[in-house]
Amino acid sequence: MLPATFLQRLAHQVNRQSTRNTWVLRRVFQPEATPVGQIQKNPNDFHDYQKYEVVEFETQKAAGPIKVILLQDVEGIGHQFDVVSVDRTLARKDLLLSRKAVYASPFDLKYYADMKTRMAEELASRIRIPYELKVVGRDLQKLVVPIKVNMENKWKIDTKLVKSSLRQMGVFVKENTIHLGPKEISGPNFDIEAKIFRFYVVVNQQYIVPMLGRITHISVDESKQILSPSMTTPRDEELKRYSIRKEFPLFSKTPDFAEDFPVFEHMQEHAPLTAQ
Amino acid sequence: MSGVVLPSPAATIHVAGAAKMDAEPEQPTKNAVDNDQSPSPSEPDSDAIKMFVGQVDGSGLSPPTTRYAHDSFKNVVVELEENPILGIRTPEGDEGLWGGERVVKGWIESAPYTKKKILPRYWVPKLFFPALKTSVLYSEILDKYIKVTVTERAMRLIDENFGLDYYILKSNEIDLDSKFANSLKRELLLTLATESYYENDEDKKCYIKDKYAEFKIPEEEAEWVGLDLNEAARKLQDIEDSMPPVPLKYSLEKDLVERLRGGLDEVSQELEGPNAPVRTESKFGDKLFGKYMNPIGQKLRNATR
Repeated sequence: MLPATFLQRLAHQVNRQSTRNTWVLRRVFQPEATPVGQIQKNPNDFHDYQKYEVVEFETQKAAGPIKVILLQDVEGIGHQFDVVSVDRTLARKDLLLSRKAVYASPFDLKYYADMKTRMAEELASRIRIPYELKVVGRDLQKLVVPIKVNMENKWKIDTKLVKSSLRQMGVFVKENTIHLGPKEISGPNFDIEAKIFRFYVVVNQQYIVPMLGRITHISVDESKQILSPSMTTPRDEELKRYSIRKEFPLFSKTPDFAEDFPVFEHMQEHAPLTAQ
Repeated sequence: MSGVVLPSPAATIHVAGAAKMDAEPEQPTKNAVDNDQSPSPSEPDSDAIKMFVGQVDGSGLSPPTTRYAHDSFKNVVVELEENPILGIRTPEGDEGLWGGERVVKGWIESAPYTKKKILPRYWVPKLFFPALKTSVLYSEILDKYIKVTVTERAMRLIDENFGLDYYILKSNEIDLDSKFANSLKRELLLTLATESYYENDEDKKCYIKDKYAEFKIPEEEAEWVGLDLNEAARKLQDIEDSMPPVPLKYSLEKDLVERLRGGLDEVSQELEGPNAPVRTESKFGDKLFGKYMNPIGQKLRNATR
């Protein structure tokens, strides 16, 4: 009779069978050659020929990236009609199913190459914002920068103050890339405590990002501290209260927005009110 | 002792593999040639679940390229054989796309439970399962999303063939090894044959027509693709039952009347024409019994005059 330990091990082995994989197997005992004139025996008739050893789990091998043709501009991947290598999971679960891309089959490569040449002028005329700029713009727009000002000494909001406030938020910019409105804000003035105001940051002299600052009075004396409001992105009603409209970043194909460019005035007229 | 070196006796199997599309046709095997047996139609004739005596290469399998090989050790010519590892066909496999994978029943060596210098080998039963997952696939021809149980192997084959439609249409029915895949193939071929896709979008219709032009077959053929034996027999029976039997006499009568009207009936023309055959009495009886019967006949004729 088999010992109990062996039966326990056998039970564990059977329980472990629920793991599923793509197996590559090899026979431990090779079937003997069929004698001449006789019919080949079914290997499954003998237990010895059903004894296998695992060569590999094929599923564990990474399949690698896959080539697709993009049918529209996809952020962080490429532009329309580009042939790109993307992660297989991303292609299967997103790009191919949502019809943003197709497999780079020989037929499709030719078909979409012809289409690309036909649409060359239209594609060239499109405004295509580099992905890096888009990401920077998106991250900056999420911020409401607390502009910390003294409640005892006189102050005036200028680029230097905004620059230091941005640095406290982990954003490092040059002073000449910050553009404030023509209307001067000065204090101490508790009427404008927690007031939101608009300023602009220019990235690469090509991308104007509209940003929001919130005035916060602070003091060295702890007994005079003011409870600052949370720095969440304000809702549309809150922006209306301060006569600020919702704006989106503006992109220029050429680096037009130099230091002396009137950014604030330009954005008053040309600021996009929908995402580009 | 020159010649082909006998491949090592190690043989492997993709429990889950599927045949490569561009694989060369296999050499006739001992099984099929000597015994006049063809492989069973129910078993997929592919790399998927076949195991060959051959070396393990990067792709996993190397079927014997020749029927005979020279064993340089024994200095004899040996006949190479196929010894397939046969998988178990499951109902779940028929409902999904497993890419030729099947469940394989076998034995594996257990961990030894006694510490000895020379250990006996203990074998425990083992079922090797394919890795299954639910996935959503898109068919370009049908313009439909399909939620189906697949294996990673099937997904990789779909990627290799540039999409679900190409994979289904290019693969042999036996390699698809699934009732669902075969019925999908039938539907795709019927859709291509009848051109009943993208009725409202002319550009897309032209695109699909050009892209899958090589797979277009007549509708009468497409109707039979992917049916199993029972379905095909039932379909044939339905076709036969739908046509009521007509007695042959009606059709033959109609045919004769038409021939007579058109003056095409050779028999009637022969009888009426100038070269009609002359009726003569049979000489058969005359030759046998003429010696005895002729005098009697003559007497009778004379009596009746």
